[in-house]
Amino acid sequence: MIGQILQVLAIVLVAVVLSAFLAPFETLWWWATRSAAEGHHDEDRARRSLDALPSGTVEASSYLVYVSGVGSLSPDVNPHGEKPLLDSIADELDGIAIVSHVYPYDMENVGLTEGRWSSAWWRLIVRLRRSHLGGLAQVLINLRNTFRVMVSADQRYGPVYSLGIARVIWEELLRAGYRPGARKPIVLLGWSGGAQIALGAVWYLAATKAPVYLISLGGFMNGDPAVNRVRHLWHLEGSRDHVQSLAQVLPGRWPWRRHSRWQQAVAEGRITVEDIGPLKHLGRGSYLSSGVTLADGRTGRQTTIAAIADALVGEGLATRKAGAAPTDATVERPR
Amino acid sequence: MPWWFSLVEFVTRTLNAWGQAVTLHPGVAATLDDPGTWATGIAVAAVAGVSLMVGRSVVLAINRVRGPGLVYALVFSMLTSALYFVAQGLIVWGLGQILLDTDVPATAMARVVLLSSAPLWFGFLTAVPLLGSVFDKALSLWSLLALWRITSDAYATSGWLSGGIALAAFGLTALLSSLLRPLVARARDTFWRRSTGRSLHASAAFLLAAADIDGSEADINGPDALIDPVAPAQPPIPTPATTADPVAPPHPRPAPAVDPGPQS
Repeated sequence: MIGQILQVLAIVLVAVVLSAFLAPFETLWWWATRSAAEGHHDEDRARRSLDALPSGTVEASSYLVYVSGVGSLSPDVNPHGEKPLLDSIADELDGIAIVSHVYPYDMENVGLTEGRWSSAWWRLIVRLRRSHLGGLAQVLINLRNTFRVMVSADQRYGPVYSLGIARVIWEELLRAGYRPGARKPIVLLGWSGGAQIALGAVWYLAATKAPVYLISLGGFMNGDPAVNRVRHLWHLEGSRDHVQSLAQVLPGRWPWRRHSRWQQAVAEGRITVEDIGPLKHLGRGSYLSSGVTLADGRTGRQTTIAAIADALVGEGLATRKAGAAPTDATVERPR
Repeated sequence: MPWWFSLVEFVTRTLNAWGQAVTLHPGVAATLDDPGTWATGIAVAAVAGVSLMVGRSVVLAINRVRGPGLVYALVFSMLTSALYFVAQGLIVWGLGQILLDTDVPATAMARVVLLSSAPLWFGFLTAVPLLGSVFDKALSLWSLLALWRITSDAYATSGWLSGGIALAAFGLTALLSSLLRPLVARARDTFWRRSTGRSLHASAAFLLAAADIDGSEADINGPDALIDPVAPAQPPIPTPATTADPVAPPHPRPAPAVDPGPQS
């Protein structure tokens, strides 16, 4: 019996390692075969982007791009956790346009269930998600996307992967009416592994000379070169989020490496780590959860929204709508 | 005997030798007296070279190496892997001569030490993101242990002495390799540049300076950066004042400094 269990564990381990091994090849294949074609200038789009703003249109003062966590399947945001979060931000703040149609785990913004050779497999997984094997199905999706986060965080592949994702974000920004010439601030809001992917994209987005900010919601991030280009990075974390301890293992985040990009940015005040309360990474009582009320009477989601709003308003990237009260959601602490 | 039978026999013999080496089997150096095992040793080292090349395939991908270029990289990796372990075998033989005064022939030792490359058949795992360097170090340690086993068997001497010889040979080969690496890299880069007309990039880091996301759209007075991700950064192109006209076409795309095709 023990032998059989060990055999199954060995097979699972080999499958996981092989999946991790294969993860960068999608990125490398994209670079070797597709990136050059995609990089060609689209003159029509460029001309449109240079056009004056249509009369009567009020341009947003900043653009917030949401970058999903590793549980994501497609560019569409999750209707249960992510959409209410973004809707609440839009309800609470003025002057900020929200862009959310971004799938950060594919460099062509294609979800898992459509338009790829493995779509049939992922559709099967989605069906499984509704069965009693739902937990296992979600683990497979998380694992697949976690490997993309690792690709982004790896200095060998990161520059390529981040270029692809930055293009996806850029396309979506242009689609949302972003005018490159106006250089309005771009704020990336990345949840979990999405924060690392967003951070990687900052390098290329900042090359457009727009100020680029990052709000990391329980982000799992390495000390990416883009840390040097981010205008400000707010790292919001819950005190019960154990993924944060795991992120400290990444070499770029080692606290004793005083001259690392990350530690230098912290010392310069460009990275602020904020403890926003006893929130977990996933499930009830997590950042996006509305199921558990915390000691201060707010849900996890309300706490998160307040912290995001505080950061955006405090930096002058948005204004509070009339009637929306200022919050005191964060306890800042040095790291 | 049909040719395929010889092939099957060769593959079986190679797999057996590989299996003995990776499991640190005491009989791994039993082929020391059989000159016919050169092919087996070279095959083990060559597969290790291919696997290591797959592990470092990011370099091939970012340089868009295809066709003949891929074959060249493959042969180069196999050859360098075999040469590395032959050199290691000769160092083990030299140390054995100095310390133990043995009569093991140099060629026999080089042949059998080729088998210490067996763990590097898993060299492809160095491609695993974030954990690649962990696999790299683990495989190096495994290869050192295989070398220790082979040295111990070949010289029939104490574990500590053979361990010392193996460690010294391992270190000396690594030192020799690091000394020769710049020369080999220069020769490889020159060959590549003459064959393709392009520079060979050693890592993807060049993208951080050279690539951009339609950055030219950001500046209606001139380009901020390049659109083509393969071309290196270029100075801004002087643009006429009329470019600022919102309905004017965007500035012309700067020509890449190097011709990106045909790819090899």
